Amino acid sequence: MRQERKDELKLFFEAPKPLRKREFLRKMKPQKISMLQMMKVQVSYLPKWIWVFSVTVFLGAGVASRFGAEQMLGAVFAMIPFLVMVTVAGSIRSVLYGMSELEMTARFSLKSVLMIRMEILGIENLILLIGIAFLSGSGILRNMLYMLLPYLMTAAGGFLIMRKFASKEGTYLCAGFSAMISLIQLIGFEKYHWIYEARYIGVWGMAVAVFFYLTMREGYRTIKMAEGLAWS
Amino acid sequence: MALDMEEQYDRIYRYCYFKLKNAYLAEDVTQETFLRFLECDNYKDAGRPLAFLYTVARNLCVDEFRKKRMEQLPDEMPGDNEEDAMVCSLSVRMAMEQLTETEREMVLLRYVNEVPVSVIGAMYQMSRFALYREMKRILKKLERGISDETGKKG
Repeated sequence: MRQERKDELKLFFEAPKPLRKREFLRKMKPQKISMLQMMKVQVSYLPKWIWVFSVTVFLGAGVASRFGAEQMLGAVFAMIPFLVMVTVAGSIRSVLYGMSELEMTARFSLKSVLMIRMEILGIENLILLIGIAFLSGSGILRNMLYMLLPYLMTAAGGFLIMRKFASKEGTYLCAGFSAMISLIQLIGFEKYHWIYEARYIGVWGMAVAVFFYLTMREGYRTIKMAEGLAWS
Repeated sequence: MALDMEEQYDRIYRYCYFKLKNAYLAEDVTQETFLRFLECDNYKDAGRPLAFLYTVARNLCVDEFRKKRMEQLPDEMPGDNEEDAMVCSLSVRMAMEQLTETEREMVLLRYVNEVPVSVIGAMYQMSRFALYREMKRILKKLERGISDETGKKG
C-alpha cells in the first residue's frame, strides 16, 4: 500500500488525544534489573551442594589426571556424567518441586529463569572441563572431545528424562542414566581403548556435534515446556 | 518479545476508540487491557504478547457493548473531529464507509496499527494465506470505492 494512502487511513482512524495516558504509564513503569543482577540472584538460589559436588568432581578428576597413570583418565572421563546430572537437576528444580507456580508470578518468566540457570551451570561446567583437560596433560583438545561426548550424551538424555518425568522420580532416573553413561565410558576405556586413538578423532568430533545438537534441542524443549506451564 | 508500552497504548487506544466510538470509554478499556496483560504476564517473555493484548482489548470492548454503557455517553463517529474531517479526503472516508465493520477493523489493524499478519491471523483464527487473500480483497474494494468517489466528483 502506498504511504500516501496509509497516511489518509491514519487520519480516518484518528482518535481524540488520550487524556490519562501519562499518569497511567507513570504508575505502570516496570522496575528494570540488569542481566548481571538477575544472574547474581539466580546464583544465590542454586543450592550449595551443586557447587560443592561440582568442585569435588573437578578436584577428583584433576588429581587423578595430574598425578595418576594414563589408565586413570578413564576414571576421570567417567566422572563427567555426574557433573551433568547435577546441572540438569539444578536447572529445573523449580519444576521438580512444584515451585513453578510461584516463579510464574515473579517478575521474570520461568523460561528466563531456566535459561539463566542453564547458562550459569553450563559455563561453570565448561570451565571445569577445560581445567580438567589442561590438567590431563598433552592432547588438551582430544581430552576435551573425550569428555564432551559423555557430557553431552548425559545432558541430552537428562533433559529428556526430566521433561518426561518432572518429579523426584526423574532425578533418580537421571542419576541412573548418568551412572549408565559413566559405566559405558569406563568399560569403553578399559576394553575398547583403541577408540581413543588419534585416527578416530574425526568420529569423536562428529559424535560430539550430533550430541551437541541433541542437547540444544532437548534443552530448548525443556524451556518450551516451562513456557507451556505459563499458558496452561 | 518486549512491548513498548507507550507505543502500544496509543495503538490499543485507537483500536478501542474504533470499536466503542467513545474516547472516555476507549481509554478506560485501554487501561484495563494493560492491567490485565500485566496481571497475567508480570514478566518479560510471554508467548505472543501482542496477540494477547489485542484479544483482551477486543473482549473488553465486547463486554462494554453488553453492559450497554454506550447508551449513557454520547456517540462519536471516527473522524468526527472537525479538523480531521477536513484533512482526510472525502473519497477515502466515503469508500471506508462502504466497507463492513470487520473489513474496517482489519484495515485499521494491518495498515494503521501495523499489527503483524501472524497476530491478526491469531485474532481472527485465519491462516496467513487466507488473511493475505482477504486483505487483498479488502484493498481492492477500498481502491474501487475511492476511484468511484473520485470519478463522481470529477
